[in-house]
Amino acid sequence: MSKTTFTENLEDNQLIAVREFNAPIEKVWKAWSDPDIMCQWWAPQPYICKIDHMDFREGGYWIYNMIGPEGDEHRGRMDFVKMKELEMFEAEDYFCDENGEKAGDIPPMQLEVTFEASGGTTTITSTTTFASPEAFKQMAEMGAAEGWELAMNQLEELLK
Amino acid sequence: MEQRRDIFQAIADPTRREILTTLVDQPKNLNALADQFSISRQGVSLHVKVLEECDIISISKEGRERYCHIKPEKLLEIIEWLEPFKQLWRDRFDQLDDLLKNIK
Repeated sequence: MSKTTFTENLEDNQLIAVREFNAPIEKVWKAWSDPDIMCQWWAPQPYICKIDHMDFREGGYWIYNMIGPEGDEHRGRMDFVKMKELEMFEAEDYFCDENGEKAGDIPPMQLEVTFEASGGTTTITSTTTFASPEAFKQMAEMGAAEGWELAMNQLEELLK
Repeated sequence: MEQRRDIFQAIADPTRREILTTLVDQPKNLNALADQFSISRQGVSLHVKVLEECDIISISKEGRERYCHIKPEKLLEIIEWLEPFKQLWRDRFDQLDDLLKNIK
């Protein structure tokens, strides 16, 4: 099975993840553009993902809701600032409330995802750029699959 | 106000990041370091002082020279901070991989 490889670019506060998938690029692209498929893989277990709004095109946005085992809800929003079909997109990713307004004190992250086809396989490169080393650290602390719930509770406290 | 000195403060400034990048290659004495930057010698010294206070570099005296050494174990601390975030992407991509196998 293929593995995800990482590169840290500390000077630019970037984390780059690369993974090759044994599927044609059209299918991989659809896994991002089709909300029904997207929500099946985006949330880390045991969270489930629901799509509030999805407009996967340049200038469009996506609001996703991660729902925890206890019914706790945590929304994120991605604004798609640039997109080339079957090639790449760039988005701004941040926590939001149910109206899609920015929430919490963590600055938005920039996400760039590129898709590259090669003989029936597709390589995805996701580059996350954090606003600052502090934001980097905050997200690193929060993004933990293990520490997810704890981090989310902390976020809840922040949002009160 | 008490200032927090930690690794993230050390790398918060672009000049300090550049100094660290330079020191990753090899230890340098203060003068050689200062020559590399367009800011004043004093400015470089101040940044070096902050880096030393953040405990990410050490300074040793050799004769009249003062050499700056990086502490690689401290840099590793940052890499470890990233681990949870990596795990998130690993989980996502694993789930995507499974899904792609199952959808026609």
